Amino acid sequence: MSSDIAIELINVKKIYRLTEEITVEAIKGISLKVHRGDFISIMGPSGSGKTTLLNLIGTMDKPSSGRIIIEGLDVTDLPESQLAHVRREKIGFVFQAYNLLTTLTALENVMLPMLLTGKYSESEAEERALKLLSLVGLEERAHHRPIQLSGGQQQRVAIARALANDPSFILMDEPTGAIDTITGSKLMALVKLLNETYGQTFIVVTHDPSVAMVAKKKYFIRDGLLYEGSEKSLHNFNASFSDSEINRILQAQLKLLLTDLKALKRRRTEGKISEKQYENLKSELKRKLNLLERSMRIEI
Amino acid sequence: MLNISVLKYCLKFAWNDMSTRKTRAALTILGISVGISALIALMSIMGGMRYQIEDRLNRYFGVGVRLGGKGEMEVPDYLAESFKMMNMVSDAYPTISGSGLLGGQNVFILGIPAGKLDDYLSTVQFISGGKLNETDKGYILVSNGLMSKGDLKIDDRVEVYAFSSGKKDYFTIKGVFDPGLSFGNIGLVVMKFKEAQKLFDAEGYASEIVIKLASNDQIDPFINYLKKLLPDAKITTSKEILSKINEILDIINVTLLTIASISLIVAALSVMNTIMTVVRDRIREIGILKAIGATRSHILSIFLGEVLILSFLGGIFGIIGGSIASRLMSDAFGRLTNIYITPLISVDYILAGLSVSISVGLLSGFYPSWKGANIRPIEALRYE
Ligand SMILES: Nc1ncnc2c1ncn2[C@@H]1O[C@H](COP(=O)(O)OP(=O)(O)OP(=O)(O)O)[C@@H](O)[C@H]1O
Ligand SMILES: [Mg+2]
Repeated sequence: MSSDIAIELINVKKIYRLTEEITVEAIKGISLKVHRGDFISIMGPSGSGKTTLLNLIGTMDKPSSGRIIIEGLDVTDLPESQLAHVRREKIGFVFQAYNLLTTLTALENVMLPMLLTGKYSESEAEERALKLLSLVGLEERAHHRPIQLSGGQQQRVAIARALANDPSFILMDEPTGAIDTITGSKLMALVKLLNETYGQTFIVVTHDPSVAMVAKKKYFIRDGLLYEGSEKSLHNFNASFSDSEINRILQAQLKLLLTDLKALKRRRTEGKISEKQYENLKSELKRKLNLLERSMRIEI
Repeated sequence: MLNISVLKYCLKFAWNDMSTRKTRAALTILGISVGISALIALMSIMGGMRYQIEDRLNRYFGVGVRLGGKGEMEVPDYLAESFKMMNMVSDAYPTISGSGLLGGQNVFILGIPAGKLDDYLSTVQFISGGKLNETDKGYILVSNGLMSKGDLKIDDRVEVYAFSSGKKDYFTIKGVFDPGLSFGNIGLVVMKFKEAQKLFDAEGYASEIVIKLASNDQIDPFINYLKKLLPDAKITTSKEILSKINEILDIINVTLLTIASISLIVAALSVMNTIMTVVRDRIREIGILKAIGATRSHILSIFLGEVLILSFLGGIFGIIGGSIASRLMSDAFGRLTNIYITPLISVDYILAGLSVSISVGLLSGFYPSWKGANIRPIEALRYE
């Protein structure tokens, strides 16, 4: 927690080798710094390297050259077992095709990443998962299977799942690609709200300008190279939420933070974390609470 | 890393996957259970056979020792009386036997003191007429096969000829019995011990002295004593015969188990095939799991969990199937041959069946599971 840089790319390249002679240079040298609390979009046409870049940031694939640093940790050469740990603790994924586990309910899908960390008891995980689902407005659908949910609802479950372990940043690959425009803009409004009121870092790649516009910082990608866009963003985008809806989301966030505080205290009393870790995590929660309080004052 | 709640989820995944693909799961369970059935059926029939042989031999010998000479009839018959006086001996009697002719038919002649036939041949059942008693003179008992072959009736007077002595004498048939054991095609003639001695021209001698001991644990000390007393004597006990028979049964057992393992190999291949299909069907799921931070061991647990459920159920059904099959087989065999073997099902066999099915499952499921757990996350996610 020494710096506020969530992720840093240093001259990252990715070359796919199809045969001995034929290679595709999908990423041609990208450097990027993403600060905590950022909400950035990367827009580009099909085949420009968006998914490739996101996979590199998400440690799902290794770059051909360059370094990738997540919260100060150079993950470029880490073995798969440690990468799994990084993904579990630091990264949330939201895919175009939702990618929920079809055999589990919405609640279980959100619980699973928490259980994998071993930090939460099953009942704590369930409590947090319910709060996260209410945050995305799906509390009543907790026990539904993915096939019983609409595309937009599934994507909201996916967002709740990405939030589950309170990651350093959330990567979204074409999150509205499979849903209609209105549902899509509602989804992006939710993302924007989570960023503003909760300080959650988001990196969204898309070819859809209306999705990219929501972000605070906009980049463009073309033929494997990244270009910075203008600082302007659509400020009253969350108009598609009513006041009561915003209130509900803020309340849900507040409850979630309080649950987290409770779980944190339990882990300290059980001796699972050191006093120093506890203080760090507590001040992080405090920061979020303050942020939330400020936005509650503004919104209400 | 693998805590209980995660393991619970792994089993839940496996179970959900199996319930969505019931036919495939059922066929795999069937494959395993056929192999285990064969194994259990063979083991229980062999076990039953061994038990029955042991039981019969024990009944045949009682808690006893048989003492014979090197040749046919060279044990002094007074030894029986001397042994009888020992504390550890509950009974002792001599028998004499040899082959001969009755009315032109080949027969086996047994001379035995009155009242000892039931003890000597426990399988004997009387059919008609009377038994031989202390005072009877010139009477014989004849086996039922010989009666019908020689067209004989009770009270018929017949000539009995002994090969070893070349002597013959006339006897009256007093009763008919079923020997219970097959002596090949040869009939069995039973007469009083003294009369048989005369017929075989071996007065004062016996072929064998049957010694009954008061209890089982006296057999070994008694045999040691006999060996010292009569170094040349031939001493037979049920134990010795049993160990010989068990050697033969072991060979048969190994042969049959080899055959059963072939069916287990088939079952193992079917498990392997199933798990490979499961992995292929779930590659995307693996990608999702890896994206949310599941490790190789998490994913391995999911697939091995499925293998565990499949092979456990296969084992259970196999044990049930095997018990039923062995019952049916022994019934059919009994009807054909008149030899009824009660199959033996013991806890040992059930545990053996389960552990074989689970280890076959794990061994054959490990490779495909390992491959699935090692797929790179982006490859898994790109898979449609
Ligand atoms: N596994 C691969 N092997 C070879 N070439 C690849 C592979 N993955 C991507 N590419 C190539 O890399 C380039 C960038 O692909 P990428 O999937 O990142 O594009 P994208 O911007 O996500 O496109 P879309 O909007 O269609 O999803 C493309 O030219 C693609 O053909
Ligand atoms: Mg893409």
